[in-house]
Amino acid sequence: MSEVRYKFFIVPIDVDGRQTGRPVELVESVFAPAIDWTNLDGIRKNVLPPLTAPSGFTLVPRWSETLCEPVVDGFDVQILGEDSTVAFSGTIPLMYFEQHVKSFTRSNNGSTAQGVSLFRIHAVREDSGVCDSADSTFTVEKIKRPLDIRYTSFDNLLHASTCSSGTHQESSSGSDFPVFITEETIDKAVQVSKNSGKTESGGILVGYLCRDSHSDHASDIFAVITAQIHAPVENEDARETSIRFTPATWSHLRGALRDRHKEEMILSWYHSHPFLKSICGDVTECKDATCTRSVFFSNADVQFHRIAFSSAYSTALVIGDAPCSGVSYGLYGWRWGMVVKRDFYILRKSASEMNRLFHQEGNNASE
Amino acid sequence: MSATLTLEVSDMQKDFSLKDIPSTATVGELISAAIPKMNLPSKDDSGAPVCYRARHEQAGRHLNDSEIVGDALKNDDRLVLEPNIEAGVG
Repeated sequence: MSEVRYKFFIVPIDVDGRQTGRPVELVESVFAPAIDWTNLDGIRKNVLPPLTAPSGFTLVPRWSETLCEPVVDGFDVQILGEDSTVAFSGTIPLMYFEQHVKSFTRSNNGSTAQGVSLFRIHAVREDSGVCDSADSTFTVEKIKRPLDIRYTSFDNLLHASTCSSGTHQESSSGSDFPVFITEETIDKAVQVSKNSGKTESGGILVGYLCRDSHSDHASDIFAVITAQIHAPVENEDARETSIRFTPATWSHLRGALRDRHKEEMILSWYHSHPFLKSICGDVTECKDATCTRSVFFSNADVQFHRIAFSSAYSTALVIGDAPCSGVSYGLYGWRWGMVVKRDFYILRKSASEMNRLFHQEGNNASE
Repeated sequence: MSATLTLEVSDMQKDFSLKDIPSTATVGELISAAIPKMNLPSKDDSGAPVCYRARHEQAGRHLNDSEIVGDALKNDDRLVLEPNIEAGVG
C-alpha cells in the first residue's frame, strides 16, 4: 500500500530569500521529541492508550500561507492507531526547528554565506510503496509497554502545594502537565549542591506518573516527584561549570533506584550552577534579591536532556546559587518537543506521607 | 551459536526490540548501528561524538566494544545503552 511521506530540509537563505547553500536533510531522530510530545498529549486527553510508544505516526507539513509549498511553517504529527488510521494529531510550530538550525550553523561555519543564519524549512514529497529502512542489517522496533500510572487525589496534592511562580497553574489549561516535587526532595538536592561547594553536582529525581483518583473519567496525567538520588562524581570529573554522567554513573543511579524497592520511575534529573560564587565576587553591587542569573538551561543541558531524558514527561531541575540572593531553582521540560522553562508545584508532604500515599495496601494500584 | 540474535535494548527511558543481529558482529558495531535506529544522537552540538556503552543487565557488567555479540550474549538478553555526557554552563 503506498503512502505519502515527506522529507524535511533546512535551507539556508539570505535576507532576500535566495538560497545560499545546500539543503540539509533532517533525519528522523530530529522529530522524535515532537512525536513523543504528541503521543503524551493524546494520552493526557484520553484519546490514545497510555503506552510508552505509539503504534505508528506520519509527519505532515503545514505549508507556508505566504510562500506556499515547499516552504513550511510547522508540521503535524499524526499518531496512528492499531488500524493505521489517524487516531490523534498535534501541530508543532516552526520554532521547533530553531535548535537544529543553530546546530547546523554551529557545525557548518561558512556554509551559510556571509554568516547569515536565516533559514527556511522545506518539505518534499516522497511517495513510497514500502516502508523499509535503507539499512536492513537488523530491525529495530520500539517496545510498547503500558505506562505505570498511579491513582491519587490531585486536589489533595494541590491543597498541600505552592506554585513555583507564586500563582496556581491551571491543571488542565495550557500545554504543561502538572508536576509536583516534594519540598523535602528539593531541600535534599539543594544540600547536595551546597556540599559540593564550587563544583557542579546533580542526580536523578524519581517518583510516579499519576491520574486523579476522584475523576469519573480518565483525567490529565501529572507527575509526583518524591525523592532524589545524587550522582557520585569522580574528583577528576568535578568542575565548576559542568558535570559528567558516565556509564558508571548511570549504572550506580539505576542500581540505587532498584535498591529502594518502591517501583518509582526516573522522571527528572537535577544539577547545580554554582559558578556565580566565583564570578560575583562583590556581592554588594548586586542589589537584586531575586537574582536568578544562575538558573538557565544551557545548550549542553538541552543536549543532555535530549539524550537521556527524551520521554515527553521528563523534566529537569536547575539549582542556582548566587552570593546575592542565595539558592534559587527552576524546572525545565518538554513542550511541543522543545525544552522550555515551566512552572511546578512544591509539595509540603514528607517522605513518610508519600510512602503511605503510594504504598498503602489497597490504594493507588497501577491501572 | 545461532547466526542471528534478538535482543532487548534500551536507552535511558525507552525499550526497543532488535532482531536479526548478526552473531559475528562486535558489540561496538551493534552500538554504532543501533544508535541512529533508536533515534539517539551520535554527535553533540559541537560535532564531537557521543559515546555509549552497553550494560548487560543479566551479567551486571558493561560490555567492551570488541566483544563478539554471539559470545557475550544470548537470545532475548537485555542491554542498556548508557551515554557518557556532560551538562553544565557550557
